[in-house]
Amino acid sequence: MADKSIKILLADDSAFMRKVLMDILKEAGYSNFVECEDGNDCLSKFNSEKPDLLLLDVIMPNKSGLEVLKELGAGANAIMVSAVGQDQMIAEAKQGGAKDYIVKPFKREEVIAIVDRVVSGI
Amino acid sequence: MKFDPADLKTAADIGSKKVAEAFTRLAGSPVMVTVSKIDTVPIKEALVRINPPQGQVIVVYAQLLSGVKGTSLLTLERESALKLVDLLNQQPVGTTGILKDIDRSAIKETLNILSNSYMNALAKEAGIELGLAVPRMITSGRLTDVVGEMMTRDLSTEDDQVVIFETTLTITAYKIDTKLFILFNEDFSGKINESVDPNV
Repeated sequence: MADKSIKILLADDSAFMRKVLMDILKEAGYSNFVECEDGNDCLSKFNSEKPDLLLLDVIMPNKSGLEVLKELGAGANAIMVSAVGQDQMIAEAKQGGAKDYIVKPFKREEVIAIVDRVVSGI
Repeated sequence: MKFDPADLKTAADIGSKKVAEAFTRLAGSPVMVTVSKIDTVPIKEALVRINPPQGQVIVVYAQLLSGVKGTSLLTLERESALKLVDLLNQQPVGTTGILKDIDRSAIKETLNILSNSYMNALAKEAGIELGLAVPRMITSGRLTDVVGEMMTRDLSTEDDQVVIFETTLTITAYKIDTKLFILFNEDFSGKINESVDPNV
């Protein structure tokens, strides 16, 4: 059973995409969110806010999601959320410790299922 | 860089289909591909194609940074943009009258998703790995200036042949038309990037 009280850090340079993800996760019962819009901001918020789960875009200013993931490692409980769906990128993210990889555009149910599964394993 | 025309045609057809599927999912309304072309043409011809029509046109672009260098562009008339924002926000069409920051973010994200859908198909079908930078908005006037500047230069050698993908997507129910271009030319990519405010 997924603990819906966990803190989730949403890292995406698109304010629109952060809003879409937050709306979906709110619908699923999650309520504790922190947002950031670039790689450096993500590392800073990760350290200050200590989120339980990180939803991480790949293409972001300053530092890419993959660079962020490399610094944080598997302990960050990161799920990549990106429009880049090339096999090589997905493999690289998973090797870097990503718990899963969601390709945009996604279905709402897909996001909820993956987040619930990862949260259940934390 | 030389490409196999047959591979490119296959990739363009599959890419357009993937883009339409992605756009349909994003907008929540059926999207038709009304034009899907892949051509190798002189740079001047490519510039004429991407030059937006007169009037209020929204233009979003992103540089191709890894693999083949170039630019991805999404253009749509303002009225189409307003209606698209409503669809993306799952609100009645006609709600949005002016584009706010979050609406511009939605249009930029549309370019990101559509371009990457195309590129994912290119990587799979033609082995062309491409990486997209963060999307930015540019005024249609600025784009026209960049095109105009390049058109005045002497671009007549074989090296100035470029590959251009052109896809027109239509949401018939709401009369929304948008064009997606992917232009493989490093020079244009550099020029357009120099011409915009990095904070936009």
